[in-house]
Amino acid sequence: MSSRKQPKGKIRPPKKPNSADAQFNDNWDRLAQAIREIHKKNASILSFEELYRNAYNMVLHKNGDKLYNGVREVITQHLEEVAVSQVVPAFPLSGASSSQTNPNGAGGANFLKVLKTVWEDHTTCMLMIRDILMYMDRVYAKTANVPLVYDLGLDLFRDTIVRSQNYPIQNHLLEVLLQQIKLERENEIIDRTNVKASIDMLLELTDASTKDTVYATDFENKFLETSSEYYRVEGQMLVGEYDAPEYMKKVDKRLNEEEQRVRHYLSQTTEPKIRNIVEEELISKHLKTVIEMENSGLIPMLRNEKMDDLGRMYKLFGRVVKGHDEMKSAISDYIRELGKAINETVTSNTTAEGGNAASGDKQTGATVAVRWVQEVLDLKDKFDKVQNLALSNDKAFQTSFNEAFEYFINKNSKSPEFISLFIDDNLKKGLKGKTEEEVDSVLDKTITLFRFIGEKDVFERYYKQHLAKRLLLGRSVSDDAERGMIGKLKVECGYQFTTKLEGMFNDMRISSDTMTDFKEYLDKSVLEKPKLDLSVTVLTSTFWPMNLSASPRCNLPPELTKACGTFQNFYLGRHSGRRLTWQSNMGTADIRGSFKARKHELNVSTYQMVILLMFNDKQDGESLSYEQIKGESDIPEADLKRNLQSLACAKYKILVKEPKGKEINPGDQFNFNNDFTAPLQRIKIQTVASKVESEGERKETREKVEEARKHQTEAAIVRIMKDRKTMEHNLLIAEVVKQLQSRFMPNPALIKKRIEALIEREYLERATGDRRVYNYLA
Amino acid sequence: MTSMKLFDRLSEDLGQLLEKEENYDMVIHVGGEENKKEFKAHSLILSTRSSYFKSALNNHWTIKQHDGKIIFKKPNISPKVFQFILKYLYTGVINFHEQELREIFDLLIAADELILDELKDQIQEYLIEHEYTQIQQNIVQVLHIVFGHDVTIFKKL
Repeated sequence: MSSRKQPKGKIRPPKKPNSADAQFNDNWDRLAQAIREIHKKNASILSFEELYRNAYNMVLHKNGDKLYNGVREVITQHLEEVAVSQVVPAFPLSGASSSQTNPNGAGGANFLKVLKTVWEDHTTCMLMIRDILMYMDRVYAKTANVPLVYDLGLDLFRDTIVRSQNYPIQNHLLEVLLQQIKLERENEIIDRTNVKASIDMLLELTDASTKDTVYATDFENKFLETSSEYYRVEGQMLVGEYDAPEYMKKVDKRLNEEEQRVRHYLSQTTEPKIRNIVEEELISKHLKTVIEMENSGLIPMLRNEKMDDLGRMYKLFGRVVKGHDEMKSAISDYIRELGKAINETVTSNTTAEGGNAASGDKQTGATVAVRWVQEVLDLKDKFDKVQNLALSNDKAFQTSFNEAFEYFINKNSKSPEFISLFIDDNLKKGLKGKTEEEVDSVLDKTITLFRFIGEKDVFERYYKQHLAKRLLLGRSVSDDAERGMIGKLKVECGYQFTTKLEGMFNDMRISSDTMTDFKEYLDKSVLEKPKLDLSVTVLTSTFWPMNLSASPRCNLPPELTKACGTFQNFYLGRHSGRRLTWQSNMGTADIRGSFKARKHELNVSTYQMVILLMFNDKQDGESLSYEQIKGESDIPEADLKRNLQSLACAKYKILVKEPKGKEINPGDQFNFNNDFTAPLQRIKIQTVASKVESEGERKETREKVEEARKHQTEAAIVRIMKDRKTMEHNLLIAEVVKQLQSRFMPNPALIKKRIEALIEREYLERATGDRRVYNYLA
Repeated sequence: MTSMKLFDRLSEDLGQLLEKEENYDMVIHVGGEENKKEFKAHSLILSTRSSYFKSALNNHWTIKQHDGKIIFKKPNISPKVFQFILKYLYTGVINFHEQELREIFDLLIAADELILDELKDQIQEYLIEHEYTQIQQNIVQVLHIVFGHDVTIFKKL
């Protein structure tokens, strides 16, 4: 029938319409029959070439639309038949009750299986139909702007089967799918292949109006709704039945399962949505309940160091918005609470021992400080471990923990002193047999606590006092250890903070050189040699914490006074313009005592030496009264009492006191204890001293700190104003705070007072126009 | 090293494959009763080069004779035209010399039926360039020939 069959050169006129119609009907009948054969899986009797040419000719003769509509009709008819003969009979018995009558959802599974077959048959047929109608797709569908025949097949399947108007296929399908998923959630084994086939089918079908997949429009929302409800109920059940660790394991498992489910047979686009639902229903809604579970919640986990559970909670709760915040604040509160308890045991201890501490039970005071620091360090260790093992070293948690530590450490006003005492304890000679590495690691940890201290200047003051004692009494474990610690402080606070500390070290070094020179000087000198060995440490008064400007009163023995004079001449001869004051309260002396049993070498303080020497002139049994000693020695009363106590009431009783007792009172009588015995030849008389300051001393320290702060504040103000020349009040305050906060937190009222003082002293003036602006006066 | 496209040799070798019929796996019966011929060809090459053959030669439609070769019948195309098409499919070479205008139109129509777009376009270009006068003189006949086909030659004319 093609024109090409005609002899060359001749061209036939177009066919008449009537015969064309007849031709079409003939061709169409054959094609429709062929499609039916394809549906019956009888394609082997068909010829691709003929069918293609057939359809090609119809399109060629402008019958594309008839062809297209005809195909639509044949496919629709077929699908209607399929619906009735295959799909409807496979309906599960009853959607709602099927889970009871059919515990394994077998009816549903079978229905899905039938649908799977129907769908596979359909797509196979459509591929074949597409083969033979390729010309129609290329020429007609393009110009007529209708779907390609394969897509037409999908649309017909959607409308005739999946969303059939005649049969409730859609309802059954969705119900069965949801039921299968529910069964799987309840640990039944389902045939995922069938579910997946239906899901894939829904994913391949497109909704005409939304252009989205039928999966998205018909299935997904229902799935999410059901899931929401399912997990809402489950969440309530689980919090009621399980403790926190078990609950979290269940949630973890659910999240995993849902992820697996999506991967195995749902669309990836559903993954974040279902995840959100589980997170919302199982985590968000029960956050507080789980955290606060009485015997298994967050605090018990911390208390029992359940790192796995904590880690799980961290990971799980991190999935939802408020999760980590809730955890953070609960843990921080807990730290504050534990910190408060530590502070309280310490304060209750110190008040209970208050009387003792002041009167000189020196161990308890320091012990309290050391115990406090140790407990805080232990707490810090514990939470560092939590941070490390369970919280992935989360910075936000770290910050919040630090704030909590800072809070309670600064709640204890003695913390700067305690920390310094703790360091003192570790840097002192012959303690606890710790290796250098161990000491170093303890000190490193202590530095972390030091960071939390707000009043670093107070710490500095105590540190200087303690360091001075270690240096002067030769108690330091090693110079390296001391320098190491100062190095750490320098890293934290800068060189300004440590210059004075380093100055103290220098004084010690220079003094030892000076003593070598002094010995040489004496050897060469024609002067009479002193009758005793004198060792002098020269301290630069500004570096050291004690008030070194005046000599305390004390009548030294003449030999000593003379030796001092010799040294003074020697020293001032080398350094003109300097002034020396003798700090008899800080010295020590080695003296020999003859007792009835044997001789002993006694290492005593200078004051004790002065006291003991008085007994040299006395006969056996002759006593001296407190008043006599006081008058003759001129030692300040508090020091005198302490030293007498050390000699008469402590471990080694060199003196005998009448009446007996722990306290020294006016009117007491003292006798040299000739009967004294001790196993060792050399004896060190410890001076009774309170290491933790008494209230009076503390007040004094406090005042000194306040005074220093005034100076530092003024210095800062002047520095800033000198640089800026003119500045507004609030900006100035802010700048001062910024410069000082590494040492202490200045309060604005203090700064304001200092500004006023500077105005009075004409360093600053208020600007004439604006009272809130200051000018610097050079 | 930059890439090189050594198409000439490739085309020649594939032409040899068609000519020598080595390892052919299909036999194509072409033409009507008076004028027919058997071509031996390679289904892999045809399905690769043309979507028509891709469909025709998929599992659903192939018919094999007893020796396992695929049989395909194409009665409405003349052997000469089919030879031309086969050569084009194997080698990518189109050679119009010594073709009558009538034959070229047959070729155009066959290319349209078999959805060989590249070939179809080239034929139309050729006609416009070289046979313009002839077409103008026989415009009515040309119209009749190409009636209904998906060809754009008239737009181009």
